[in-house]
Amino acid sequence: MRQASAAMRGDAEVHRQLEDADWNDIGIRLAGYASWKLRTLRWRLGGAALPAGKSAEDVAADAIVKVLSGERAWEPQRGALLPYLRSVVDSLLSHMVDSAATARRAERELAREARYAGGAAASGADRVEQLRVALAREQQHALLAIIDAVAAHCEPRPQALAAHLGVSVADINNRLKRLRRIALRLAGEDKR
Amino acid sequence: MTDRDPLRGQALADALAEAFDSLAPNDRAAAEAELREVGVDPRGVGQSLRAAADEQRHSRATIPTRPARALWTQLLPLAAMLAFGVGVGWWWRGGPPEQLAAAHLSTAQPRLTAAVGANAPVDAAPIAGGPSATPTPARHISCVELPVEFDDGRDVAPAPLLPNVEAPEPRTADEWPVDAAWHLGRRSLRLAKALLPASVAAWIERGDAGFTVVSPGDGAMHDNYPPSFWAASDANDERFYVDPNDCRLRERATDAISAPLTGLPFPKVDGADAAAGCEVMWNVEATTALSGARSATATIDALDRDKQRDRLVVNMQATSFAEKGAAKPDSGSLRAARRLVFLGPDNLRGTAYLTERPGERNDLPDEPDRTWAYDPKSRHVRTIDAAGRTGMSGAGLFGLDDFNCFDGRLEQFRWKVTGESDALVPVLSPAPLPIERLSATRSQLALPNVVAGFERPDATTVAWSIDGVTLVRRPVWIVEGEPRESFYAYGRIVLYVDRELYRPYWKLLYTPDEMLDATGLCSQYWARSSDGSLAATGTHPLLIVSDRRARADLLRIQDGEVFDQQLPEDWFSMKSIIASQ
Repeated sequence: MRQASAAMRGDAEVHRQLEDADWNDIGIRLAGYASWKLRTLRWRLGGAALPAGKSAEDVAADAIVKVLSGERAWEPQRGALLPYLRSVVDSLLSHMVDSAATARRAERELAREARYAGGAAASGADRVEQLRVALAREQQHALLAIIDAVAAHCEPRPQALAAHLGVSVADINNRLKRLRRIALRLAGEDKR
Repeated sequence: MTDRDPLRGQALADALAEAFDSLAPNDRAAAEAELREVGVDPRGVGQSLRAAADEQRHSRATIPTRPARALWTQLLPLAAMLAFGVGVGWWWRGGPPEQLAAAHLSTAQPRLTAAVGANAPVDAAPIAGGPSATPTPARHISCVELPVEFDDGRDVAPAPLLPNVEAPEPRTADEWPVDAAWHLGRRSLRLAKALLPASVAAWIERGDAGFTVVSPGDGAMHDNYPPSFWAASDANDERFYVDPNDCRLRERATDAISAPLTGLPFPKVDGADAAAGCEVMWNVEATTALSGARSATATIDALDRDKQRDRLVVNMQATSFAEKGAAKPDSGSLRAARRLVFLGPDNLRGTAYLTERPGERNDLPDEPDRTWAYDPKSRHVRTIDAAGRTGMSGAGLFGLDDFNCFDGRLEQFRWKVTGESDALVPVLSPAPLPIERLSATRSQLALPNVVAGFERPDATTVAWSIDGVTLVRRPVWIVEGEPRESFYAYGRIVLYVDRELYRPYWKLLYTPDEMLDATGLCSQYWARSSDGSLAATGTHPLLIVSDRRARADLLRIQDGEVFDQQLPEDWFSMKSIIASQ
């Protein structure tokens, strides 16, 4: 009985916090996060790897609706609301990738059966090579060093990369931002 | 670090992506910067997602937060006690427990009950976003009585003056059209997306707009024009023709440019004909000219997504000589004239525009509209060219060519029909509004006020969301106009024009480099006097939204219109305007 009462009190508290949340502010933060992740994902997997027409705002809205509807249960004692919503966005994006991969496999099977030999969209692997070539041409050695470090199994975190390359974390952050910007531009994902 | 083979290909791309994502926006400023980088207005996103959250919160009486099974095991003892209590209550009241459960539901989910209503059809379920309803027997629905839940959760009455409609046999949600009133919002958009311009569907998808959809019944709107109008239209069959190259109206019998013009000049339009675009637009001109001289005061609000930026108050007066086919005595042959005088704000009070639309002249090339602007401070009059007829308002979207949805000189555009379909179109009322006779020459029409989002203190939608506009399904021509003037502000105009009533409903404005700059919602109304001697058409409200610029202009007529059939002969002259200052 005491457990049940505690659960009801907890639910009331969650309800109150969800009611009081500033959804405008959360929406902007979450959409910005989703936009970043979505663009990186498109670059990583190639342009056609994700279902078309799904915007960052759509993903953020899906996450919010799932949490508010209870489909994804948020428990305040395990962390704040925004990080939890971010994890829901990550999960939704992961699910989108899985769905798209299944669809692509089916398409490949169909194409094989039809002996169709169309040009495939550039994959993430192609794009890394494209990025390397462009950086070499522009003599962006600091950025190439990042790629080399990651290729050498350095943990892909700013702190680890900074330690490996002997520079500050702030410097690595700047390099990563520049590298990502160039990568997206080359892949045509800079305005999506 | 290990001595393993270096990462290559997709594995390297995955690792780099992980490094990139370690910098994903963690604070508000970074999130806004990311959104701006992809060309999205952060404020719009914030409002849209807040609306989505509000919709979700309001669509449920409670927000479950824990897995049902865990909670259920914890609540078993409580449930047993409740069951016991309900049993005792039933025994005491002498009724079945379902009554108590129903009473409980009605208080636990008041919004759901209010939105769906006791008489709501099955298809009304999307209105509330509630659970899918079990089909119920057909019932009579009064649209006037059916509360409608808007996307932001407000319960408001639908637009007035709607006819009662009868609900059909229950249908599944996929069997559209539904003959009863229903709410078109984000949840029900899938039912109607194909019937809307893409930009309008995007408004609804973002939660910027929601509409009541009604079905006035087959043929019901035909009577929005009096029998005399239809008789005159029938008499015009094969009487006129237009050359698609210049879009000028000519009479077949004389091969001359002709007047008078009463009724639709082209009662039958063949969409495949090269001249179809011009024919459709001449029909639009004829329906606009129906009432002759008219006067109204309107406000034009320039709006950002979240607030009003500016308000203009204007007195609009228009007349058409098409019905009479007469030349204006002191100004040569005119087809129409317009005067627009600013009543506010103070710094613009007295500023005026006068437009004379020359009639057709057989012996001369087409003459564009003559437009003048009067500045009361300098007492100076200057001429306005075609480029100056657009973008005069605070938000830069509304211009002289936008009154009545389209008020440009149609011969100055190359028109073509690009499509023929059904569409959901905005109307103030599908039935004609009553015109009241004030005297032998004066009549008035009362128009309902339309409330915009920025005027509601509790609004959670965009500033330009509007109440009171209803959508109906109508057959439309999709007509495209390309201005002949190269310096016109827009490169292309697309209009959705009713195939029977020839009123324009949606207006898409493209920049010269083919980018959609703005979308216009032209809510149409029809009006008739009780004896059928006077009829009118008009646009109220008129909303032009630029999603690209996150701005809008909203024109609303205040109170109503006055029709005057005996204006002074020089009323539409700059001399008269200046004299009245």
